[in-house]
Order: sequence, then C-alpha cells, then structure tokens
Amino acid sequence: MVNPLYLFAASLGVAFLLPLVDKLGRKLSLALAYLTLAAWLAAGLSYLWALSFGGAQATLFGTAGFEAPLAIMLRVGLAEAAGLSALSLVGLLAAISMRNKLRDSPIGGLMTLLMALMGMSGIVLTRDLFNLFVFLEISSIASYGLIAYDDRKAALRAGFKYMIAGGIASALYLIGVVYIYRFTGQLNLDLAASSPGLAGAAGSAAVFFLLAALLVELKPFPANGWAIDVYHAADPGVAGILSGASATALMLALWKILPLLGPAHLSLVAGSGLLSFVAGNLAGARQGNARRMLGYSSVAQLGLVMAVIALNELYGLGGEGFVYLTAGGLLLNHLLAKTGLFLITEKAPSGGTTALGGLLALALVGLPPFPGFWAKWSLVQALVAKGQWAIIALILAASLVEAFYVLRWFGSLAKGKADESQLEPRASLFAPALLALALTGFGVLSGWNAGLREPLLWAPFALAVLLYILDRLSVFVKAPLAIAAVAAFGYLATPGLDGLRQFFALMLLGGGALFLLSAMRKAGPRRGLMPLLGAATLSLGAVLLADSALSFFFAWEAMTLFSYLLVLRGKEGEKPALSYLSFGLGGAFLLMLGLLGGAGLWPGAPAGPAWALALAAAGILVKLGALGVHVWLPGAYAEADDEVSGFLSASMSKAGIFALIALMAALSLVPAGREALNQGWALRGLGWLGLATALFGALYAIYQEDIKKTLAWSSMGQLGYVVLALAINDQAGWTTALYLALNHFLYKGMLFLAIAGVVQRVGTRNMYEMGGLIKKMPFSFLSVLMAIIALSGVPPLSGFGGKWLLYSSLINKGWYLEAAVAFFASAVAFLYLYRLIHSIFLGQPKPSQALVKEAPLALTLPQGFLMAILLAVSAFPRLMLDPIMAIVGNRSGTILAFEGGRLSSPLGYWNGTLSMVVTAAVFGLCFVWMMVNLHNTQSVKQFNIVYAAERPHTPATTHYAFAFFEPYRKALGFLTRERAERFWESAGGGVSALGGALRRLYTGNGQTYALHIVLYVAILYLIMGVL
Amino acid sequence: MDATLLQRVGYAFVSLFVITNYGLLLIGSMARISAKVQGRVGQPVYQPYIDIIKSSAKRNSIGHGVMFYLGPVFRLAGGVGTYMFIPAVFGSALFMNFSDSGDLLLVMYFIFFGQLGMALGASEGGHPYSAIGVSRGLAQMTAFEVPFALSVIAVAVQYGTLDITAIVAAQQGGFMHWTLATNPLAVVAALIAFLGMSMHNPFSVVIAPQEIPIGPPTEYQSNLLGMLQTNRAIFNGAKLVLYMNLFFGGATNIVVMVIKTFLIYFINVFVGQAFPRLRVDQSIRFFLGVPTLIGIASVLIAAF
Repeated sequence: MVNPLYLFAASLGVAFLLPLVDKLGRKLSLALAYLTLAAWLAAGLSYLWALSFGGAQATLFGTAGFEAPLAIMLRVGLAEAAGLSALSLVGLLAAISMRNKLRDSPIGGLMTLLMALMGMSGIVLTRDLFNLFVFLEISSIASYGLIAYDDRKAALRAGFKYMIAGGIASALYLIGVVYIYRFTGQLNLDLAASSPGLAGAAGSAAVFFLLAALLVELKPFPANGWAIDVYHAADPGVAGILSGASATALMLALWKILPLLGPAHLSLVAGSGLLSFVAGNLAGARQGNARRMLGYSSVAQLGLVMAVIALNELYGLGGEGFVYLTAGGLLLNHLLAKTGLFLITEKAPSGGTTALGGLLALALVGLPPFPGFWAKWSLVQALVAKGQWAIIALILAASLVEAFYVLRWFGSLAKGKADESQLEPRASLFAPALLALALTGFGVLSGWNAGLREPLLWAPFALAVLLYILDRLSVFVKAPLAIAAVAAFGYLATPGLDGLRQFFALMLLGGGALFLLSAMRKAGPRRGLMPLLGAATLSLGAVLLADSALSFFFAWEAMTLFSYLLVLRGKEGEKPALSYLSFGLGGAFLLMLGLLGGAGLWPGAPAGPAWALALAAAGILVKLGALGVHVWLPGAYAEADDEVSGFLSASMSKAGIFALIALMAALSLVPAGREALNQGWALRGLGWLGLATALFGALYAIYQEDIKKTLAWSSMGQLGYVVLALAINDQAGWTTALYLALNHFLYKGMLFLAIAGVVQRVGTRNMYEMGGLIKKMPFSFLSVLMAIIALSGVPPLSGFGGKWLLYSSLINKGWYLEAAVAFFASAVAFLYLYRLIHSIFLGQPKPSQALVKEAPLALTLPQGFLMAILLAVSAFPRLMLDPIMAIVGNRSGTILAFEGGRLSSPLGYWNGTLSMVVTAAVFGLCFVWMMVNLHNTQSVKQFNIVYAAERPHTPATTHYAFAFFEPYRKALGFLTRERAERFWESAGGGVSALGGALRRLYTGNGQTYALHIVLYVAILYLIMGVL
Repeated sequence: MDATLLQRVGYAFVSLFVITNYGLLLIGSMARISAKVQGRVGQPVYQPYIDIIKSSAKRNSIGHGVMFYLGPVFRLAGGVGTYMFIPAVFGSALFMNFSDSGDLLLVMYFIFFGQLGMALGASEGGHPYSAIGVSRGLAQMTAFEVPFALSVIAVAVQYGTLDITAIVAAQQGGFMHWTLATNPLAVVAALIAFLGMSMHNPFSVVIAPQEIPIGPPTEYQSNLLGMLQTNRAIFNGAKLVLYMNLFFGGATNIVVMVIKTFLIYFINVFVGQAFPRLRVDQSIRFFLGVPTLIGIASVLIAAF
C-alpha cells in the first residue's frame, strides 16, 4: 500500500505551485488539480482493493519512520479506505462539475478546493488527536475560502457564519485535547484510549469537549443554522463537497474517537443524532427552496448516521460488520445521492435531469435497490430485535417526512418546474450520472450481499433499464418486448408456485400483459410508460415469488416505487403521486415492522406474534385503500395514464389482497394463530373495516363528475368486499374472497379499458360533457354494459355468484348486520353504475362528439378477451369455482359444495348454468315478442324531439346529468363529508406547522447561530451530568 | 322434480299465463277501488287488457336505437324471470316454475335485471325526464332495499335457510306458524319496503304519475309500452307471491294465493290513498330511519 504521506505532500505541493502554474494557463492548473484529486481517489480505491480482496491488513504509517507516541500515525483500514475513496470520488466529481466556474474565478478557488479535500482526507487517516485538530482547521479554513470562492455576497455571508461556527468548534476541540493530554499524557488516539487517565468525571469532561466540537461540526439540530445557510447559498458543487465529503470525514472522526466515549457520551450522540434526524426532516417539510431543503435533509441524514453509530455501541446492535452495513450504507447513500442532487439543482429540467434526479431522490429516501434501502432494513431489523420501539417509530416517521419533501421536489422537477435563479446553463449531467451509477452499483451489491440472489427478483429493475435504453423506439416495438418479458417471467416463475400464487399470477402478470398491450392505443414512443409499466408488472410477480421477509419487502417496495412513478407520469399526477407514495411508504413501513417482527407471508413461513401480524395487516390495508387511509386512492387512480389506472385497479390492488390472504394463510398454519383467529373480534373488526370501505367507496363514487374518479372510488369499495369476505375466514369466506377478486379483475379491467378508449376519443373525463356515445362506440358500450352487470351482481353474469357467495357466507357465519350493510352498499353501487353508463353512452349526443370513432384495437382487443372469459365463467361457474375451491381446500369444514351445476351452501343453492339458460330463454322469448310486434318504425335523429331549452353555456349547472344524485346527497350527504381527508390534511398541516416553527430558529444571523452552538454545548453538558 | 324438461317448460307457460291474467285483473280492480275512494266511477276492471291490446296494435312511431328497443325486452324478461325463479304455489309441480335455479338471493338480485335494462333503454331515448326518473328511482331503491334486506335476513336466520320452498314449508300448520305471527317486526319492515318498491304514494315521485310524466316510460309508446304494461302485471304478481311466501305462509293452492296476494296488494292502495307524496331525499331518510331500525330489531330477535 502506498504511503499516504506522499499524497499529502502532492496536495500541498500542487496547491502552492498553482499560482505559478496558473501563469501558464488555467487549463494546466485545472488538469494538475484534477490529477491530484484523481491520485487520492486511486489511492483510496487501491487500499480498498488490497484490504478487501488482496488479503492486506489494516496498516499504520508513522511519520518520519517513528512509531507513536513519537510520531503522528496514519491508519489505513477498511473504514478509512472506504471513506477516503468516497470523499475523493465526491470531491473529484464535484470539482469536475464546477470546472467552468473554477476556470473563470481566481485561482484561490482551486487551491482551497485541494486544501479542503486534503484536510478531510487527513481527518480520515490520522490517529493523532492534535493532528486531527490540525486537519480540522485546514479543512475548515479551506472550506471558508471555498464557500466564498465565486465572490457572491450571499456565499460570503454564509462563509462568514461558517467561520464563526468553526471557530467555536475548534476552541472546544482544543480545550478537550489539552485536558486529554493533561490526563493521559498522550495525543495518540489508541494510546489515549487505553490510558486509565480518562476514567472519572474530569476525564469524562475532557472527552466531552472533544465530542462537543465534533458534534457541532456534524451540524446537529438546533446548532446548525450556519450549515443550512451554507448549503443554501454556496455553489452546489461546494455544497455537495460539504454535505458529502466533509460529512464523511467528520463521521469517521467521530467513529474514531468512539473508544474514548463512555455511555453518557454515547447517549448524547444518539439523542442528538435522532433529534437532528427528526427536526431536520420536519424543517425540511416546509422548505420550498431546493438547496435549502437538501441542506435540511443533509442535517437529518448525518444525524441518523451518528445515532446509528452511537446506538450500536449502546445497545450492541450487531458489532463492527453491522456498523459498516448500516451506518456505512446510510452514509454512502447520503453522500452519493446528496452530492448528485445538489449538482442537479443547477440543471434545467429535461428528460435526463428527471431520470437522474429521480434515481438520486429515490435513493435518498431509501427505496430499493439503492444502498439506503438495505441499510434501513438492517437497522430496523436490529432495533426490532432489541425492542427499541420508540426509536423505530421516530426514525420511520421522520423518514416518511423526508420522503415526502424530497419526492415533492422530484415531482415538481419531473413536471418541468425549477427555480430559475439557481440554474446554471453550463452545468453538465456527467457527475450526477456517475454518482447515480455508483449508487445503483452499490445498491445491487448490497442486495447481493444481503442474500437476495434470485435473478427473477431483480428482473423488474433489469426490464426497466432495458426498456429505458430502448425508450426512443415506438411503443409498437417496446410493448411486444415487454409482454414477452412478462410471459418469460411467468414461464420461469409460475411452475414453482403453489395454487394460490398461480391464481394470483394470472391476475397480476396476465393483467399486466393485457395493459401493456393496451398501451399501444397511441402511436409514438410514449416515453417512460413501457419501462415503468413493464417493471411494475414484474414487481407484482416478484411479490409472489418472495420466500423471505427481505425478498418480500424488496418486491413490495419495488412495486410501490414503480407504481409511484407511473402515477407521477400522469398529466396532473404530481400531487396524487406524492400522496400515493406517502401512504404507500407509510404502509410499507408498517409492513416492514410486521415482517421483521416475524409475520410470514410466504409458503412455509412461521406466523409470528400477534402484534407483528397486526402491523403487517395494517400496512397491507393502507395499500388496499381501506377507509380512513384511502385518501391517496382516488387521485392516484384518476390522474395516472388511462391504461395505468386500469392496471392499478385491476391488477396491482390484487397484490394487496394476495398479501392479506398470505398473511391469513400463514396465521392458520400454526395452532397459536388459529386460536387468535378463532377469537373473532379482530376478524370481526377487519370485516367491518372492509364493509365500511365498501359502503363509503360506493357512496363517494355516486357524487363524482369525473369518470375515472367514479371508477377509482368503486375500486376501493369492491376491494372492501374482498376484505370483508376474507375476514369471514372459513371455506366459504375464502372462496368468496378469491371469486370476488378474480371477478373484480375481469370487470374492472373491462371498465378501465373501455373508459380509456372513451377518454382518448372524447378528450374529457367529465361525464356531463359526454352523451349518446352508444352509436359511435358500440363495442365499448357493450363492454361497459357487461362489466356493470357483473359489478352490480345482477344475474345471470358472474357478478351474481360473488353476491350469492358473499351473503351466503355472511349469514352462515352469523354476521347478519354485516350482510344487511353489504346489501345496502351493493345497492348504492347501482347509482354510480347507472350514471356511468347513462351519462357517457346514452342520453343526448353532444354535437361536438359527432365524429367520434370506436376505441382503437389495442383497447377493444383486451376487452373482447375479458368479455369472453366473463361470459364463459358466467355460464359455467365451475370453470372459476373449481380451481378456487381446490386452492381454498377444506378449511375447518366444508361449507360450499357442488352437485353437478348446483352449488349448495347450508342455507340455499345456486345453479349458475340453469339460471343463465332460463334468463336467456325468457329474454329470447321477450325479444321475439318485441320483434314480432314491431311495425312501421320510424327512426328519429337527435333533434327530431323537443329539447327543453337552448344549448346551455354552463353545462356544469344546467345539464341534468350534472350533480345527478343531488337528492341523495341531500339525504345522506352528511355521511360522505371527507373526514379522512380532513384528518390527514390536518395531520399533514400539523407536521408542516411544526416544521415551520422549527425553522424560525434559523434567523440567518451569525450571532444567533453562535449563541445556538454555545447553548447547545452547554445543554449537552448538563444532560451528560444527569446521565 | 320428476317432470321432464319439456313438461316443465309447458308448466312454466301455464303458470306464466295465470300470473299474467291475475296481475292484470289485480291492477284493474285496484284502480277501480282507488277511484271509489276518491268518489269517481273509475275504469272497468278489464281496462289493462284494452290498454295492452291498443298499444300493441299501434305503429311504432319513434325508435331511438338498439338499446331503446332492448329496454322493454329487459324489463319484461326481468319480470318473467323473477317470477320463474319463485315457486308460486307450495307443493305444486305446475307452479314450481324454475325455482331450482337458485334461492332467495337469486330472486332478490334478479329483480334488478329488468330495472337496469329498462333504465338503460329509456336513457337512450335521450329525454331528460326519463333519466331524472331513473335517478330518483335508483336513489329511493337503495334506501328501501335496506329494511327489505334486513327482514329477508331475519327470515333466513329464523328458518335457517334461503330456499323459498323450505321457508314456506316451515310456515305450514296454521296462522301461528306464519312469519307474520312469529316475527312480526320483520314483516312490518318488509311491508314498508314494499310500499317503496311499488312506487305508489307516498313514494311515487319517482314516476310522478299525476303531473308531467317522469320516469323510464316517458318516451315509450305502442307495443313497447304494451310490453311494459304486461310486465307491470307479471312483476307485481311475482313480488306479491314472494311476499306471500316469505311472510304469509305461502299458498297451497291457487285460490289461497289469489286471496293472500290481493290482500297484500291492498295495503299499498290503503296507504297510498291516505298519505301525501314525499320528496326523494325525504323518502331516503325515511327508509333508513324507523323501518331500518325495525328491520335490525327483527334480525336481532331472530338471531337470539
């Protein structure tokens, strides 16, 4: 391993030579500086290689050939090598992205850059306490210069505040070093740590000063106003260096002095870190300025890393490997993503900016496959094992807030909004792209390392990448490709699955393929749609494949991720996507806790304790949009692209149903679980929740003017029935649930596809702006007609089977009132269904829609396919029920049984085939009767009849199809005042207000900031006294 | 059960013929009774026959499209089908119809078949009054279905079955075995729902028969109207038979059926003559109030 001293010498030499070299031209000086940075990076990587693969051991380098205590020692171990590589990489990339400005500003900028990075590297390597101080000072002083290098007033002011804070920190540090030297007689860290001199109150106080200085440098809440101002005002490259590289160095410094710290010190670090994580994120929630927001996020992330390091020492979460994995993973994730994001903020919105910004933002919030995801998983896993619930709750809640504001920013970026004042026309995407690549690489490696080696689990990401590369091609090329990928996935995955999973594979993968096909309804590349829809489909398949807690959660989060991006892709998708993701992640966190607590959702899994199952179930219910946590649903379904809405409703919602079923299946496998189920109150509660979801979904649906909103609410309601049926939890209930789920897939698929065609042809989603389309789009009408008959449960189509099964199972179970409410809910469904088909296809045709054509083949074809299936299973219910009943098996007694075509329950019977035949015969006779008696018909056109008034200018108020069910609202409107929405809004408002209050600390005044720091340290000291 | 398929089809036609004529006469006689109450002479009892023949004989002056024609077909098929799924006379092969297709749930949901089809057919006519009538009708329907569903559940709980024949069988053996005697609350709830179902006063705003005609039939004429009128007779008959089976001990022969259904239908007329009309929102709140509570009470009584 090369001696790092040479590198320090090189940095110093080059920095001092630069003013001379600069006379020969700025290009040369730039090249020299970059070369030096690259040398650091190369050295770091070579150390890393030697230590991880070359069999080398951690090495100490003494200066001037002596050993400690006579010399200053530099240590190169795994952590140092990784830190060095990371900070040099970030430094180099930031420097490259700053090259235009470095070229135009005085040479001092380049010099300070070299010095700052060298100082940080020194902090990483040194084992000497005083030398650490020297490097801290070098990097700080260089940083002040660097912040102000481009000579802007705001940056100068921020730099000055930085200097004040740095000065206070240095003073504290020096005091600490002085006392430590006094007590131990040593400046070498390792020797000092092993010295008995630090025991006792005085020693503890000495260490405290050391620690306080490092903490202040790590920008803890609330003593971090100076840092926020710097992030806000400095050049994004500088901000990236400070947020990424400097933080890495300081974090390693903290890690280095751990041996000196006692439990009280560690508690301070942990508490301070957690407080920074929570408060930083709360303050960020309110922030509109991108860089300041990233600043808050930096503060928060550093707080989390700090807390993890301390918590590991305090609770023994998992030793050194654990710290590398979690704290290291989080730090790596933070430094790569944050630097990239800072650099992105100066780039004008474009396809590339969006893609990279998206990758980096998603990495930052800890979604798979990025390193933060794995780190967070291991962290929470360790905390769950230690039962640290309060800490888990804090971390997850704050993570959710962070995801909210980071992705809010990304959402506006994706919609082409940016802060004009921050844009830099010469900025390039090279550095962010490299950072994103590194993040992805590290993420995949971590996943591989964590034991996720099943290639099919990674297939969604692979497909997304592949299709993204081909994204410029026409959708007619990509869609068949994506469908082929789905088919291949199905071919490889399904044979190994059990019956239940194969059943769901049909809906998830088959549905995905169907909607991919329908995406060909419009020509052109339709950029972004195919990669995301294809990947989302495969991620649904991956959920079925999962065979461990981690793989299940991985697939689940992948599903959340891709569907979020799909919703965001919708024209007005920004807000709904954010709310979708916030709830999706919130649910996912609950699910994660459940999984880590032992809830098993894969074949042969143990059931786990009751609380874990309850948490997992709660997480799944959020995904299903149960009443109370449904507020994300209508917006997401309505604003996504039309085929995506169908995919979300028909296919993706089934993944939630699947998870719930898997959970209950796991539960009934073990005796304790069966006992819990038999107690009933939990299931009864679940049943009522499902029922309330069904009823309110239907009630909300009837008031909508927007067709897709109607369908969205309807989906929510229909899933409510499935939950209700599952809660019954016997053979009949399970059969009902699976039957309802498959049926919902069929008719909602048809409805969304047909509506996609209508919206595409008509160009509006408001029902009162349509009418009389039956003559223009007869096929779509037929499809909607069959679908609503099936949905409403009117015989003879298969929907009635669902109703019959539901009521039979409910009454058989003794849930009478539930049955009555379910009946009411399903009657309410008639209201919105009638309105849907009537307002669109019947009634008065609109003159502006006289030239509308039938929907494109890409939409009618899948509808025809679904219609054929629907008819077949309606006439022969056994086609559907035999497999379902085989999957369900004999759960605590057979309730439903077939004799020929007749399905019997203890209460009654239903012969689907016979009722179909009778209905068809009666209908045929009536039809013949009508035809025989039809004479001399005169067909009339629209305006042959009296129309009450002139054409209305404001259809919204005068058209009879507007506010169609007003009497209903008058009678029952009080039920549907949006309580849950108001609740979540005020919850969000509360968080935001809290954040706003916290932000008042940051006055922008350097003196105030100095006071904060001093008070912070004083309070820490007092707290330590108590500990 | 032993009858061949052909025999069963033949029986079904006989049964249908009986109920059609009975339904028509019932409507005619009720109209005449109403007239007497209001101090008028009223129409002859056979007026519905005249109406249907006259309508069917007329030329079809106006057609609006496929769904417009299919509306009455759906409606009539809905009426006939509903009747076909109900055993009309207990123990009679002639009147068992095709009740082995499904139980009470099938009947309750098949009632919607005709309503839905009719609503769609009428909507294609494009007349706003049709649609408004449908919107009112549907809104009111959701409300009166609640007490009805509750009383049906009460019956199912009480007899432990949803099989109509079995429910009738359980009520044999005299008045004290009728649901009317064993669970009167269920019957009260169901009868109040019946008032809504029949769309007589005070729940007649759906079709607003006295002023501007509103409701699905607004645009229908000629044989299409004839089909609707025929359906009215059959559908009424079917519902009355259903009520008789569920709550009034069923019928062991056709005479008992006629007497019982006549009396049940008379309740409608009686209430209709005595009460003024409610607005739709009022009737929704009405049905979801006291009648629903009565229904819940009936279920609780049956369950415990």
